[in-house]
Amino acid sequence: MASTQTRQTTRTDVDAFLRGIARGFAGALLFSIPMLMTMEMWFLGFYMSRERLLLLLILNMPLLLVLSHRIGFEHTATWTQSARDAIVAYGMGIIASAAILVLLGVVTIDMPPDQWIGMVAVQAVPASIGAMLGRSQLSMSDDDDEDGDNEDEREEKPGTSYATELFMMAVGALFLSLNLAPTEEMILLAYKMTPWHALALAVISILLMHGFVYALAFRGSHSLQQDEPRWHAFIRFTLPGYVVALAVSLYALWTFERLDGMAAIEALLVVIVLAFPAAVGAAAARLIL
Amino acid sequence: MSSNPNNIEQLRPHWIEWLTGLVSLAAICAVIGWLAVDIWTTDDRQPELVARVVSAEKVATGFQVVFELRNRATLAAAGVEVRAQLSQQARLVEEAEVTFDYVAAGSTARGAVIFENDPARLALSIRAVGFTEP
Repeated sequence: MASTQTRQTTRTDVDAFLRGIARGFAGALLFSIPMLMTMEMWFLGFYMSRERLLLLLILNMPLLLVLSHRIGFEHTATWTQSARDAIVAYGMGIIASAAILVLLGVVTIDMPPDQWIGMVAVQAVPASIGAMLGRSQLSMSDDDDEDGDNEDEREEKPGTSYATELFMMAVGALFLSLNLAPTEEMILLAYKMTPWHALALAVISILLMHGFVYALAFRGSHSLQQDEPRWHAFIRFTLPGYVVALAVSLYALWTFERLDGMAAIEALLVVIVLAFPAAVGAAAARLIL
Repeated sequence: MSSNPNNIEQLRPHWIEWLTGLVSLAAICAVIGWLAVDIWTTDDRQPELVARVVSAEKVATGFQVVFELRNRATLAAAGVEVRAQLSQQARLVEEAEVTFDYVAAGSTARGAVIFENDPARLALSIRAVGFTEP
């Protein structure tokens, strides 16, 4: 009797885990296909500086770990479990990227290892974030009944703090940045724009961020308390959020060697151009994650 | 405590949140100020491209001359065509061409031309011969 029960529990766990894996792959595909089918991303794989690629791959680990702890597979409780899930997501990102690149004929057998490893590695970062997000975002339907409990748990966890909020914004910003930073359009747009355009874009980005989270009644919207002035949240969340978007944009552009040899003012224009989608990504992350 | 414990805005803010907010405000003002200063102090000048030889070395297929192209103006140039010539006493010996996708304002871009003849023994000139506006 007891053994049957144990087996059933184990069976359910395995099923849930496999379902999690399938969702992870779905998420990896959903989030990384735009990048897998972008020409610049393939080229980056073999020409980008190996030091910067290594840094990106290493930074992705703590990012996945915290993300996993916050939302990941099977609502992990301990850091050990989070680490396991982060590694699984990273692995799925690598496998999914490699499989798609082979399927599309971008990676071929006669290619030197240095080239295809670089290509897969650079794609694996967004794919692994996708795997992690996919798991949490695609699994809403059957986790609905748990939501009430989760919110109570979240409240007790010290993790859902101000820092987490900023972290989530960084993840959202990074996600859209990784999509757009490698493309030539970011640079071209900056060249076409005058500083006036950039100034307007920066202001619009900040207003959009604020509007996304507070003004529009999306699911997960953050409402303000009646007695609190509007500008409080603007100073505490929206402005730091935009700085996060700027910083993430700068990092993504630097990683993909888009700013090398560029004058500071020109680089600033490119960063502001990329910070526009990054800001929208950051605001969306606050609502979704 | 509020009815929705998931809503971070309704918790009492820690002083560090205000500090972050103010530092962010300062950072954004700095960025916007920088742009504003740039708007007031610089006027639009058409691209002005100057090449400078960085290195010249013998490679398997000839002599490779690496050069740096600097755009000293305030507007970016696209499709920059650069022509390099080797000449001896005003007689053209060899010519090579290369095109840069972009050279941003006030920025540099690197490229190389490959000659059959040794540029050290001949007169070398590298210059941009045309560009488009992005």
